[in-house]
Amino acid sequence: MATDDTPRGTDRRTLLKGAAAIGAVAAGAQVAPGLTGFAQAQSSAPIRIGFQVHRTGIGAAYGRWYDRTTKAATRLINDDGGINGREVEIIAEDDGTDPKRGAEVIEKFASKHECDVAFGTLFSHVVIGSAPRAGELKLPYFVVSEGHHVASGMLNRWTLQPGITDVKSQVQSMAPWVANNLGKKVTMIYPDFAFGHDHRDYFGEAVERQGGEVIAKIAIPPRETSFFKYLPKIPKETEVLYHVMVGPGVLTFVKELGEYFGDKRPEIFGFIDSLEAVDINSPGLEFLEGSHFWEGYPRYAGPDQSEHDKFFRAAVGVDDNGASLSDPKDVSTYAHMFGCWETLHILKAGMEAADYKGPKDRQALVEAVEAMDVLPESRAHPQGSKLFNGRTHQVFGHQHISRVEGGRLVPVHRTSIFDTVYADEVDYTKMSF
Amino acid sequence: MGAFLRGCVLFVLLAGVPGRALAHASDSGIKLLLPTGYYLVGGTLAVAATVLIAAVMPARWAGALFRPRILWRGPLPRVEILTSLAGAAILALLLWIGFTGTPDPLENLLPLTVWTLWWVALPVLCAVVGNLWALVNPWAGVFALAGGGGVVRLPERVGYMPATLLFLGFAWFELVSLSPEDPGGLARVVAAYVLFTFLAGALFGWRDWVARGECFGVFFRFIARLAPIQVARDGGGDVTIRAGFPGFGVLHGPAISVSGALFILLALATVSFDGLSKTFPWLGLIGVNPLEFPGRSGVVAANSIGLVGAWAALAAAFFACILAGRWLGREGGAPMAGRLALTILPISLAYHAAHYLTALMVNGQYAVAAGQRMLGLPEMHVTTSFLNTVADVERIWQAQSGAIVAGHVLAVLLAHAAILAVTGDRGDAARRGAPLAALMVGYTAFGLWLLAAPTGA
Repeated sequence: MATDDTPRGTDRRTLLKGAAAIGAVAAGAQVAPGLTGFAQAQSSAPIRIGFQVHRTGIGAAYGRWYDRTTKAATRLINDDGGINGREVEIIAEDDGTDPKRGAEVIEKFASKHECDVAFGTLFSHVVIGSAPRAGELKLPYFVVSEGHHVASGMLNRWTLQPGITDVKSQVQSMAPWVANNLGKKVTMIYPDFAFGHDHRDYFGEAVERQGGEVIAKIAIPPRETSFFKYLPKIPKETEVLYHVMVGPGVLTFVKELGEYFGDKRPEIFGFIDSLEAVDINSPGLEFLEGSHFWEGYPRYAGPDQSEHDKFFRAAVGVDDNGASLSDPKDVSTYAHMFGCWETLHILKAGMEAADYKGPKDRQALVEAVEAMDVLPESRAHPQGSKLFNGRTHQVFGHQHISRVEGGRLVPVHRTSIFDTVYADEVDYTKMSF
Repeated sequence: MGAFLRGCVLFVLLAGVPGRALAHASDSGIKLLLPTGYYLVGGTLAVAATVLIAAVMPARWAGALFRPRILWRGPLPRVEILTSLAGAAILALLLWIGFTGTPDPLENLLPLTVWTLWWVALPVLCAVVGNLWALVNPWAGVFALAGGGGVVRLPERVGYMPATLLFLGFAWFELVSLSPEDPGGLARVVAAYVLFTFLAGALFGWRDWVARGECFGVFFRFIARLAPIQVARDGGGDVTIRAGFPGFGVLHGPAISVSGALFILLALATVSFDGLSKTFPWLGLIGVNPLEFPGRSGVVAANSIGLVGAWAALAAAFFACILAGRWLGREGGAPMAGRLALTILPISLAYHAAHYLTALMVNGQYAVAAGQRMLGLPEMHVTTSFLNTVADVERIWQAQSGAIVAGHVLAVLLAHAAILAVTGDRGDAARRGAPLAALMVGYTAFGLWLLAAPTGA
């Protein structure tokens, strides 16, 4: 684990180069879709992308929206002429949100379905269970997981995460704004297992670098569904309460927090993961009014909505509240699903850069993606501009902080990509395929 | 007639009581915000009140409530041969879709039909209109035309054991195996079962095999005994249609053996275990973090043991109640395990309907969308907003808890009526039935708790 996130040496130079490039491109023209040109089609056989999707199991709610976004992105890419003039075909297989099943699905993609690549996995344990098999089969595996496992070096050179940022970068990037706007004395409440520990560790370090202090760390046993007995442990001098509760107890936690504090309460900061697909207007969540959340991609369209965000929403079928156009109460997993859209566009760009013709070019495809760095905000990347780190196979992007006002989430801060970067923990490019 | 009406009013009052409490419910976090505890207490008290009322009401009321009338009797052509052949054709088409169609279980019509339409919706339909599976199963028509088969006798001694073991295998496939919804894998399993059943029917004779070996035939036939309409064809080919209060078929049809009781207990135990296996206490017991469920592959051994253990525990409790009842009652009582196991059927159906309701609401939409896709029509948007909206979650919870309470109230009345039919004495029936009644009251609380509990899997 890196102890110092300040980019050193070559990392800093690369970063500054990237930041300048992003600035220049963002200020100027956008990259229009399809501008990379159409390679002469060597074969009219479709490009087959194996979509490892959580259709059943605990990930099913996310899988639903990942599927819709994937279909929308595929339609767009095919309407624009496909990849290298070839149509893109998605073969979706359910992994049951299970790692063993995930590995079997990877196997099916490589052999039975003759897919060119695999893509789309969200839950970390499934990624970790599937990536080794993808590596053995030399099948490029593009995950949309937010897990830090890719950049940690745990996986292999065939596994990449170019379309969604990871939780380490998300958490640490919150510290500057939180410490300078909400308060420097932080109490953290988190579930007592790896997910919560990561938040505790990443945010703890980052806020200390801002001159802040984590004055209490309250670890809640995962089996708890009522939290009253933990709330008195929150020190009175707490300025910011940082919470990342997940699971069925989340709404209970918010309600009990509200009942415990009443009107006099510290600033409250949480992650939208706990409330993905939940309407902020739900009864019981009134206490959240005035509190702040990390958002990967702001659910509610604001007054300065970009044309790319408008296009993305229309293509996937969600309204300006992040809910389905067909059912305004069907709230999407807006903070995550863009990852599928952007990853598919990376696949297209990579295949075109590598002049991908078939499975023998899989290695060239990975190398082409490893060579990417600046990804400007565009129709392909509506969430915002990105910086891809070819060595760690992880992309970095802007993170957002929103405030709950009137039952909506109003963006109040967009981090620089700079804030989100940490030192490399691995260099996959030095590994063999 | 008067007694019947009084019985109906009583039933509606007893089953309707919990609906007065205010509550919301949800499949996830919203459910925990709601005072489901009030429902748990209210529902359990309602069933307990039913036990007491049944004990003190005049003995003839119970019998009158469930007395059927003959609606119609006469010859009817054997349409079941045609419908069964149509069922076989549809199944063949579905198998072809399973083998060759999309691997996506929410778009392929085979898993959608098997797990949502057939396994969730059909039992509920059968409890309302009668044994539809007897009409649409793929074997009956073929055997009716080709001759009933039968080279070897299926010994009486084995009772319902073949069906019971096959049902256990099915439950394991549904609840524990890694991917029961995978179209290709499911097609293989279904095709194997269809073939196996044809062979077994040819070997033992279709009549005996469907009575005690074909596990879904047995299951649907038992469930259909709850329907307010009972249709029977006698040896001469005449059909009799009887009508009465739901459940009269449990009292007025044939009794079953201990081995049949074990089948019914298995059906209830497996659907209950499905609920239990997702709760925080169970996950804690098997050492799984409920916020970090490892997937089915991480719990195969534990849940296999749990599935069989749930059956063993329920059977032990049930037979202990039967024995205790025999001991509490007058000397010389007839064996009642078989007849009383039938009175568990409303509990089984109620929990089945309540437990699978949200799955039906979601996957039912996927089934409609798949049908639309097949016909080239624009597909509907599958929404899950009702799982995240407090008002909708409340209605779902009320439907679920209402079903549980209604099922247990019916079971209590049926059990009391069944014992009365044997002993005739109100006090003796109350004493004999007390242990089983206590089990049913407890199971109401258990069922409501299962539905209200937060889930981690």
